Amino acid sequence: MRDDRGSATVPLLLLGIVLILLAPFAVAASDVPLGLTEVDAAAGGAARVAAAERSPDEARAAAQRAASELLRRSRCKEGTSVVDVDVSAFEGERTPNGSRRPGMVSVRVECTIPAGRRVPVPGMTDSLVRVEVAEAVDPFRASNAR
Amino acid sequence: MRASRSHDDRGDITIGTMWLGVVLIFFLFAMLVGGGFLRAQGDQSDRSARRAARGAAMTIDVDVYRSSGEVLIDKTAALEVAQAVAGRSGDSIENLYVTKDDAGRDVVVVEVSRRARMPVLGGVLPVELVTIHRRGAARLEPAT
Repeated sequence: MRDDRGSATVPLLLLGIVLILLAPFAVAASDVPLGLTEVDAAAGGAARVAAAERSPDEARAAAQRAASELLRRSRCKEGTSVVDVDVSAFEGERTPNGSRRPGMVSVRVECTIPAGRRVPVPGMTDSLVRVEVAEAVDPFRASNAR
Repeated sequence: MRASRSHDDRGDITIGTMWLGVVLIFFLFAMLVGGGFLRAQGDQSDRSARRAARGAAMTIDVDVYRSSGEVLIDKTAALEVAQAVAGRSGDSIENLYVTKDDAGRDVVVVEVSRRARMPVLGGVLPVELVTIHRRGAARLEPAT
């Protein structure tokens, strides 16, 4: 019938427009979980490097170096990364029944993931990502490592 | 004979379909972004479980090993260490046990869980309805 011609085309066109308008948001929003994964991996890597060191000072420095290197290649906005290394429980202790309780090193990393890094999206704000991880320190690393 | 359609009804179904389509697209978008967050948190739990297992594997009772050659972990200390490590990342210990891997070596296995946040539509609807379970393992290797 002549009057019905094009009646399905208009809604499809509108749906297409909605899809096209939302697509940049989906791309931009995906940067946050991807950035979260990168920051967590950086914190974990830094903690593992620190746990292999022999002293708290060396551990702190090694963690800072490792985290900076890993975050440099991440989605974090330049100059927004903060790395905090806690080595207060670095030394392990011996338990009453003979086992060794390992020490602990904690690394907290936070940074800002910029909105619209790949696709500029108006109205979308930067996201602050904060991650904290801990790694046990092998009580026998000194005799094995060096 | 075909009945003539009322003029007012024309296009009603297509308009309804369009709105349904718009809602569906928003829902899919929300699931896509929320799913990305869930996956990222799953990866975090995965790494957290492995760190906890490595920590637990460090609590070998050295005196027992040196006297008998038997590899035992101090279960209380192992649980404390695993909880301290996993807890820092927001995970809880579900289970910790020692088993054999495919090669017959002793491994300590740690199972963790976390309540995952799924921020839908840019955090407008923060839904916390998913519990993530992950498992990590580490070999028991006493220092000699």
